[in-house]
Order: sequence, then C-alpha cells, then structure tokens
Amino acid sequence: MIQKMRYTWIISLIFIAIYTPNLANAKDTTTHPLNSKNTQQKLDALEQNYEEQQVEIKKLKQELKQQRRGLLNSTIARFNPKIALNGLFTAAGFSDDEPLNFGGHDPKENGFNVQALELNFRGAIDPYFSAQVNLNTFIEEGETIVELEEGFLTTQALPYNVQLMGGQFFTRFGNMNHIHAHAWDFVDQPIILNRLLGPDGLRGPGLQASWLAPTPFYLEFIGSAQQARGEIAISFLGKEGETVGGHILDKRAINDPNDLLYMPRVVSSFDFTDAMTLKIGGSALLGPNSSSPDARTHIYGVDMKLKWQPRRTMMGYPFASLESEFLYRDYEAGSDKNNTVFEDPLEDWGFYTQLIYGFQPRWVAGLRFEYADGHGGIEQIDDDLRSKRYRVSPNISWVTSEFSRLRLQYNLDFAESRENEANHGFFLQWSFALGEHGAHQF
Amino acid sequence: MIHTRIQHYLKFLCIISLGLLPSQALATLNVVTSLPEYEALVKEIVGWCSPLCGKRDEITITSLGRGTEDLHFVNPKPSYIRTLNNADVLIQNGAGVEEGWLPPLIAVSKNPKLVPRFDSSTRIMAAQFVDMLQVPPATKADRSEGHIHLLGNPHFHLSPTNAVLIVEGLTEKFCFLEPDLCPTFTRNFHSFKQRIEKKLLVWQKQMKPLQNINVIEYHRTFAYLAESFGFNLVVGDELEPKPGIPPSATHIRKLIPRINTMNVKLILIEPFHERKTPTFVAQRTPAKVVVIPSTVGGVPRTDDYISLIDTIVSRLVAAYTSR
Repeated sequence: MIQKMRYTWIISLIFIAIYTPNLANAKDTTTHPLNSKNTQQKLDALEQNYEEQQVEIKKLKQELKQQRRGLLNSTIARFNPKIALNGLFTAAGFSDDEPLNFGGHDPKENGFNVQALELNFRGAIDPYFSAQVNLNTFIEEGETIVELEEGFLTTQALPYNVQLMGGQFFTRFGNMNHIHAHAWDFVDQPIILNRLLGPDGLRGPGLQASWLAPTPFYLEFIGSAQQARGEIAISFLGKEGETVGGHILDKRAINDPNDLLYMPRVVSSFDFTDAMTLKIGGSALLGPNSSSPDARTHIYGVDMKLKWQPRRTMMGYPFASLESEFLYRDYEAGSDKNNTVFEDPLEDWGFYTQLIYGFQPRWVAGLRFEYADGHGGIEQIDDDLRSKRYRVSPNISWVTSEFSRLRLQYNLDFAESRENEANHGFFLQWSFALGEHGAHQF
Repeated sequence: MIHTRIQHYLKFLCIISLGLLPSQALATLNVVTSLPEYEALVKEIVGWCSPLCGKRDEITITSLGRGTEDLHFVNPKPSYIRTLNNADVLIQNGAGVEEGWLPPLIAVSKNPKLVPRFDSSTRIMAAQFVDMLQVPPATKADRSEGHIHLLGNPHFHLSPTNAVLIVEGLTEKFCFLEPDLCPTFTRNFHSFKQRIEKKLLVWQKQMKPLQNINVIEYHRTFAYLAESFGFNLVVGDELEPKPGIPPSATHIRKLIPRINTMNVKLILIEPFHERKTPTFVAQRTPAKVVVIPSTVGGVPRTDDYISLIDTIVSRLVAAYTSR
C-alpha cells in the first residue's frame, strides 16, 4: 500500500515537473497584461542572449578572416626576406679607342656590357633591427666580379629620434654616392664622383648614427665612422701600388681612431608649395690617405635637389627635378719612402647638374652637364682622372613598367688629357627588376 | 685634431637638441594617415563632437597622400619623414597600395611606434577590417599579370558598408589609445553608421536605373562600388590591358568591338587619368566616359566620405541618364 502510494507520488511529481513550465508559460501568455514584469525579464534574458550570440558571431567571423589571411600570408612566406634581383645591361659605342668611362659599373667597352646584376635582400631581423644586403656582380674583361656592396643592420626602435646603422655600407655623402647603379638617372657615374669617391662609390665597414631634429621642417644630422681601405676608398687608404696625382700609394696600417674615415652630414628639406620641394645638404669626409704615413684627405660637398610634381599626377607623372652636387678635395700627398716625390697638396673639384623630366607616363628625359678639374700633382694635364673635363649627356628612358626600363643616352665629352677633342659615347641600356617591388625615392 | 673636431660636432648637436626639445609635446595624439580617405574617416570618429567634449584640439589628423594624386605613386617628400616621426598612430590602407612610397619613409622616420610591420594599435592597416574582392588565384599570382595585389583589390573604401566596418575597427583602436574619449568615439561611430545606413537607401534608390548595366573602368578601382550598388563591372576588360600597364593601341582595338557586343554603357575613369584613350574609345562605341573621384578630395566637394559617395553617385546617375 505504502509502496503504491510512493509510486503515485513519484509519478505525480514527474508530471508536475514536466508540466509546470508549460503551465507557467500558459499562464504567462494568458495573463500577459497583468504580469508584464515577467515578460520584461524574459525579453531581457533573450536580448542578452542575442547580444552574446552577436558577439560570438563577430568573434567567429574575425577568426575565420584571420585564418583565411593566415593562409594567404603563409603563401607569401612572411618570414622570408624581401628579395629583388636587378639586371643592368648596355650596348655601347665609343668614338675613342680608350673610352673615358672609368666607373666600376659604367659601360666601358664597345659592344655589350654587363653593368650590374645585383641581388638585394631586405627585411626585419627582430623587433629591434632591420637589415639590408646587396651583392653585386658584373663582368669586366670577360671575368665575373662579385662585390659585397652593402650589408648592414639598422636600428628600428631607438628613442630620441636616433637611428644607428652598422655593417658594410655606402657612405651617405651627398645625394648620389649611396644610390645603386640600377637606380641612376643616367647610364654612367658622374665624373666628379668617380674621381673623388671612386669607381665603385665610397663604402666600407663602419658605424653610422643619424638624428632627426624635432624641427617643424625636415632636418637630419648624420655621422659615420668607417674603415677606408682599398679600391672602395681611393681618396683615402687606397690600394697599395696605385697612384693619385703621380704619388704611389703605400701600405698604411690603421693604428688609432685618427686612421678611420669620418663623415658628418646635414640635410634638410622644404616644401615651397604642394608641388615644389627642395632638399639641400652639406657633407664632409675627413680621413687618412696612404700617400705617406701621416697624410690626410678632406673632401667637402654640397648637394641640392629641387623637385616639381603637380597635384594631379598619373602614375607619378609628370614630374621634373633639378639635381646638383659640387665636390672639393684637398689631398695632402706626402713625400714617398725614397723621397723621389715631394710633399704636394692636390686639389680637385667639380660638379654635375642634371635635369630630369618625366613628361608623360612612362617617358623620362634627362640632360646632364658636368665639369671637373684639378690642381697640383705630377702631369696633372695628362691625367684622365685629374685634368679639366666637360661632359654633356642627354638621354631618354622608356619605363615599360615598374619592373623594366629601356634607356638611350649620348655623351659628348671634352677632356684636356685627350687634347680637348670631342669624344662621343652612345648607349642603349636595358634593365629589369625581378621580385620584390622597389620603392620610389624622393 | 679629429677628436676635438668630433667633440665640437657633438657639442653642436647637444645644443641644438636642447633648444628644440620643447617643441615636441604639443598635441596629445598625432594621427597620420597615408591616404585622405582615412583622414576623413578618422575625422568622423574624433572630429564631429560638440565643443563640450573639449579635447578635440588635442587630436591632430594629417594625411600624407592627397586626393588628387595617384595613390600608388605619392611623391615621397622628406617632409613626410618629419610628419611620420611625430605620429602617435599611422593609419594605412594596407594590402599593397602604399608599398611604392611609404615603407622607405617609415624606415627612416626614427619612430618606434611605427615599427610593428603588421597590425597594432599604433600602426593600423584598414585592410584588416574588411573582406577583399578579386584576390588573385594562386595560378595567376604572377607579375606577367601586371601589377596585381596578392591580397586582393585594395580600393575597398568605396563600399559604404566597408567604410562602416573600417570606422568601427578604428573606433575600437582609438578607444584603446584614448580610453577617456571612448564614449565620444563610440557615439560618433554610431552616428556615422546611422547616417551611412540612411544615405545608403537614398543612394541605392538613385542608382536603381543602373542596376545590372555593363560598365568598364580604366584601372581596377571600382569593384567595391559596383558590388555596393549593383551595376555590373566587366572584370578583365579595363582600358589598361593589365593592372598598372597603360593602354596600348592593340588592346584598345580589341576592346572596342567587345564594348559594343557587351553593350557597355559607361567607362569609369579617375580624375588623374589621361583623357585621350577613354575619349577615343567613347567616340567609337555607345559607351559614355564618366570621371568619378576614387578618393576624398579628388575633385571639389568631396571633403568627407559621405560627400565623396554623393558625388560619385550623382555623377554616375547624371552620366547614365544623359546618354
């Protein structure tokens, strides 16, 4: 009996359990006007639920997007450095048997020239540093030459507007020394840069610091200390056995900080209007030279670039720029070991001025005028690298795309060392950039 | 001698830096945007608040690129290095639009806040807030296809719904940067969203006649606009034979009969494009050339986002109805 009662008890409890909510529901709907508080609660609960779901949906969408992007990024291989390979080739014709082009990456021979095949890597090392490496190869007299052009670290996260650079790098002297051959506006190196900074440009291992002044306009101070040895620093500790102004270079050891090459530079820029920008700079090079154990070289330079680019441009065209650099070298040529050559201050100076005009998309015309001269030294008048020289170079480039270019150039050259006769040079240059998109510089 | 000279330089530097330091800390938040549309969108978040909210002068917004420029080819002026150095936040489009001019400027800006290469609260890529169209398939991700963008068509700001998503995302970032002003930012975002939603209905109504008509463009710029307003942009038949490659005579000769057979009604070009090719094509087909701005400030009366879309819509409608 008791057992039976228990069963009914349990069964009724179950019934109650099952039906109570329904009853409550029924009650709710039927008594709606009287019990709005309850409804409000339910509504609130539902709304809250809805909001939570919305948040969840948003979160999932975001996740999905990130997953998709992750897939994309993995195909782009985010962790690899950016790689670009630049090729620079020229067909050249010279009127003189011994052409006057002495730049390491200049076209120097009648016929076909490989000016440069340059491999460029860039990327972040970690949150603190980025790095850039440029390996260059070219063919000289049938022989392939490999150069470590640049390879350096740059700090990315230092405070107080300071940035440090360390490694092997082009000295940031003037406007053009650090520009790689594939980015030049002409097929060859300016004469005065070739003479004072060397056929391959002035570069070497060292450290550089730069500081951006907190002025309302752009003003930057750059200072570097570098090892200045060999063919990449001809005005300084040039290669043993080579000559400068008739002085034979000796071997000279680096004993103290005075034997390093120091460069201070200041560079500033002003926007006259939206379309017109001026950049001006002044730099100096102070270092030892190997004509004698304690001789020194000082080089001073001023540079400017005026660029016009109107408000309305298509693919960055039209634009025009006027760029100029003046350099002066004071080279204390010391007396040599055997005292056959006496102390002799050499002076050299010169400038280039170039006008570049991108007159319609993909078409760029250029005109360059150059002058260089020297004073002092042995047989200065007959020295191709020190005598008076003028050169005029018009050119035109067809920029087929951002990754390829064709260029035609003519050089009219007068050198005192060649009896001031007109020397002619014709060039057809083609170049490509394989890989990473290079950025445009000012 | 060298020692004293270097010391001299150092002294000189120190003196100059001391003299110039106080000019640094004027504004509390310097926002720099790469493109003018982000300047306009950030203004929606911070700029449209009542004088009571007080702090608005403490947020400055500067755009490097201008609406009249071809934004793949902004002139990288040294003064931009200065601007970037001062930035507390940099807002970029991302997805490759600025890769031709911005990275070298950032690299020398000496501003640690801009170092994160990907999304953070101080260097923000708008691309993260939207879904991209025209992502090239792996088989076509090659330079022989022209200057394509691997992440997809980067002109996503031309869809009003994307603008809302971007402003929403930016609001979140700004709330993180300036928590005190978060309520204002959020309110401004909601107001922007409402205005866009209201406007969207108007624009869609205006654009009704253009539903499903065939349209071609000069450069692949207006995909998102087409998606928003339901006209049919013929992809692959731009005036450019391939993205970033200027029109050639052979390509145009082949394109003209295609325009005729596809019954293309409009040719969309941007204000900075040359007019010779589009005019040449329009003279030989029933299609009409219409110049529409793709950026804020590209033509007069496009000072903010809504007026930009207003101008685009009215120019499209006017060109279509006056054919």
